[in-house]
Amino acid sequence: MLSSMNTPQPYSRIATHPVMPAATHDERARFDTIAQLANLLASGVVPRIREAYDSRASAAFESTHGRRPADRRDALSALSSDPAWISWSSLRRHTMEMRQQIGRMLVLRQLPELRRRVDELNAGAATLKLDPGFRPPRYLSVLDQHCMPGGYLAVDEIDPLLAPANYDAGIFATTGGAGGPWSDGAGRALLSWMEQSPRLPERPLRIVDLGCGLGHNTVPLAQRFPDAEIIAIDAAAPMLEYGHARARAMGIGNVTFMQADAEGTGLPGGEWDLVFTTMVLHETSREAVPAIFRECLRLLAPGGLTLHLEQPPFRGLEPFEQAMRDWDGRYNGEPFWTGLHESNLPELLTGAGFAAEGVFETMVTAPPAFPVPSAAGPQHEDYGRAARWYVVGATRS
Amino acid sequence: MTEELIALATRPSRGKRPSFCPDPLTERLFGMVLGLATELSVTRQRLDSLERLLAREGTLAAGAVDGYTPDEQVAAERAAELQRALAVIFRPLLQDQASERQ
Repeated sequence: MLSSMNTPQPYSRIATHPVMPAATHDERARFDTIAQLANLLASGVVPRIREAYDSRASAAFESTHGRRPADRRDALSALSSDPAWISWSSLRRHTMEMRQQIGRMLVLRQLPELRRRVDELNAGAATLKLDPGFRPPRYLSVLDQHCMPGGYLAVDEIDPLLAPANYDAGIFATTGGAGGPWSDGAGRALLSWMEQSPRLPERPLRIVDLGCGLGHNTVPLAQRFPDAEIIAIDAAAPMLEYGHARARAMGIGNVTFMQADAEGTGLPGGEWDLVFTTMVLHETSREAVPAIFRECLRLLAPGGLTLHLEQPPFRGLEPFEQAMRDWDGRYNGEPFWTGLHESNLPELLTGAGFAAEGVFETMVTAPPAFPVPSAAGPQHEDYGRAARWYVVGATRS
Repeated sequence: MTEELIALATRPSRGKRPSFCPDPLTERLFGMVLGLATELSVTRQRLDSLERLLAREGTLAAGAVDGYTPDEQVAAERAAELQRALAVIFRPLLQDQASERQ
């Protein structure tokens, strides 16, 4: 059964920096177990669900409803009483929760020291702009995303740095290292695509990263374009604090981390060459996406480019695939996951004012970051965790 | 790890927790089996590291492990580690109140 398994990268291959929480032998072993469990569920259990769906679940649905499952809701209804799907779902949810718990254990035991290092690196920096009066958008404050206790904004934590430090330490395990040692696969995939594209002007670029998080995907652009002026925007102050310290510790000096709303950044309009998001839109809302697209258009200089990296849309997928991809939306604290993937993003870009002839869709892949064959990430479908993404973009005419 | 930190680490996420199993007890059991598998895996990896290191250094005498008695300090450290491990294994019970909350 496991012969086709593509082993996740061992946690010992993670790249570290001075504000990264240090992991002991057993903490690395715990993260390795999480990655292996996720791999087992994806490569060992998902094919059994497919078989169960084909051999019994869809037939049971048909005998009850007198028709085949027609969409993701039908497929989910067919699957939700099947033991294969139930076992997989329960273990997957528990794995997410346990990953949070063990990441918090790792960070909590060294949190005061992490706070000291972050404060030291951030002291007096003009490149960290927090806004104490900022009110985060409702879509970020109403729930705990991906089962993160306290959510993305780190509500009611003893020190809000717990959230970004836990995120930084754990994402390598959650993705099995598919994003590379720095978990920056999305940023590197965008760069790799841009290398082959003549769309960007030949001058020091001015770049805005909307929803930068702790800067995982900002840093590779900053390294590739050392002359560029880069503004990394996020709503969560702890992510910016940690991300700024992390970037400094990595020797990055050309990124300003700024607290603002992606729907209205307050940055001057018409001046930016590249405005992008990586895995951000699905964390927002149906109302926010068109507003973010309008802000992108406002920010861009003539000829400027906007890029938005996400998981592929659901269109054209059969009901079983859609139901499986809908899982994170329903059960992993991602309420807009499915709404985003059912949206027509090219139409929303034109609706925001981009000229239709400048709008495009493509797939991007991160170059392998590890010197072993499994480096490109899991070859089986892990529903949103491989190093290959959908990009929708537009140029401003 | 102190009891206070274990409790902080075990904070549940907000929102109604989905239950996949028809029986809520089975749902909890899945989580505990997962926790057990994880802690067992960690122990096996640690044992494997130790055995390889000991073999490399050639330092451990036969019967040394069976003849070893932890002193009070070691016993206290082990108890703390056991508490931490049990919090991982029995997380579904420790987070139970939240799983029922709307």
